[in-house]
Amino acid sequence: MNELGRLTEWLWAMTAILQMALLFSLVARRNASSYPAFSAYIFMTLAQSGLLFVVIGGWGFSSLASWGVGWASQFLVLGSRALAVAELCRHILGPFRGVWCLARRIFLAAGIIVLFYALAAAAHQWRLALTTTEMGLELGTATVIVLLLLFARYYDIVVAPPLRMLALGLCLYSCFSVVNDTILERWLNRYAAIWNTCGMAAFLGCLLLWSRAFHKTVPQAAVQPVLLDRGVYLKIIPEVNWRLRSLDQQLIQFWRLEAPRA
Amino acid sequence: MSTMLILLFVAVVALLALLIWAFLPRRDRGDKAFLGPKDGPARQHATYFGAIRQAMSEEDFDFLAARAPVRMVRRAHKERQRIAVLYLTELRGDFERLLRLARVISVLSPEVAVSHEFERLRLSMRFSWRYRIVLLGLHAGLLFLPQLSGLNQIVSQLAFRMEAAMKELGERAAIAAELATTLNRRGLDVC
Repeated sequence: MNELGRLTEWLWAMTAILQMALLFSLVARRNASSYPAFSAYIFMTLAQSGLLFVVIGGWGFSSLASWGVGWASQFLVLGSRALAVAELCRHILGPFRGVWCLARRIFLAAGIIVLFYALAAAAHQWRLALTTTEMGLELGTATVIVLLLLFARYYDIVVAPPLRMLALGLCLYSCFSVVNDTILERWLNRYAAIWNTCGMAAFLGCLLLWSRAFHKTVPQAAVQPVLLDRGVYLKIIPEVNWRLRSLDQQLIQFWRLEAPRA
Repeated sequence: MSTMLILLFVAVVALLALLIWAFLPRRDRGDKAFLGPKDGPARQHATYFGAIRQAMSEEDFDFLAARAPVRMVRRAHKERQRIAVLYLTELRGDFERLLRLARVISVLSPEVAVSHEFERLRLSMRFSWRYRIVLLGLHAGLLFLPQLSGLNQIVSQLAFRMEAAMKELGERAAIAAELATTLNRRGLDVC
């Protein structure tokens, strides 16, 4: 454990304490039932910390066992984070069936495209395959969260503060991970220790944000909106779009106006 | 490798910028009412269009140009431009309200069509861009006014036809109540 340094050890301990506190808070305030995927994600990160603590303590930070356990657990954590993001999307857009249906397809497509882009961008570097895959997943996660918030903004859907904080934490951590993985790829050998410390510090910050978000019971979804009849959409929306097209044409004509008189 | 690094950094910076933008409050949120009786805001500016057209009439300007000193003519021209800018701004307000109505209908619909949604997004973005250019042109004194009448007509017709369509469906009252509740909450709340 001496390889890690005092700061990393201290951060590790702080992170573990906060993870436990958050998990306890989620269960005690009954938020775990509303946010099972997020709770599972926090549990997975805590389990990963414990597992790595044992493995690194036993075999050392640079051992093959630590490397294997580290990456295997990391992909499980990433998987559970993806589920937490999906849960977040469902909480925000789920009540609005039509928009949710549309959003799901767009988010999935965007996430997959971004993931493949990241993988393709570094395909020639097989020794960095794991880091690249992680980076692709993180970039995909961040993209989906940003798209989610843009969707909510576009459709005037107010996102409750706890969900905003949850989204903010997940997105910032993903962005940080992308930057971190990118730098790690470039200066792999000499940067690993700093990468770990920075990553833990960022995660600690996110944990604080999420603890604030779930410091009390998050109210359940507001009354389900009464959806309109299908005919309303089919009747009005094409009309609106047609009018908007005409309006757009009118604006084009503004360019063909006469010059003002002196 | 370095190109990839740059692209990834650009992607992250763009994502962060979009994240910040997504958290900013919408400017048109305060403008709540868009569905109402005949004299509701969506048609308010159409009511004043006659007076505005009179103020902008070519004949009046020609009359003034023939008789008044150059200074006064210039001042009158500036005033006309100012009115045009104000009017255009208000028309955009009407346009935004109608767009919002369309968005609320989409949100409250059990099914939405991808093509319609994307088309509206594309059109609203294009309108927003062109509106800014037209406004810039008006500020710079490059554009003149008559075509505003066409713009106004379209917005007014849109308001009228949508209202008529909702009446026809016999659900206007229920929808208006739902929308009013929604808007009073400054948007659509989820927890």
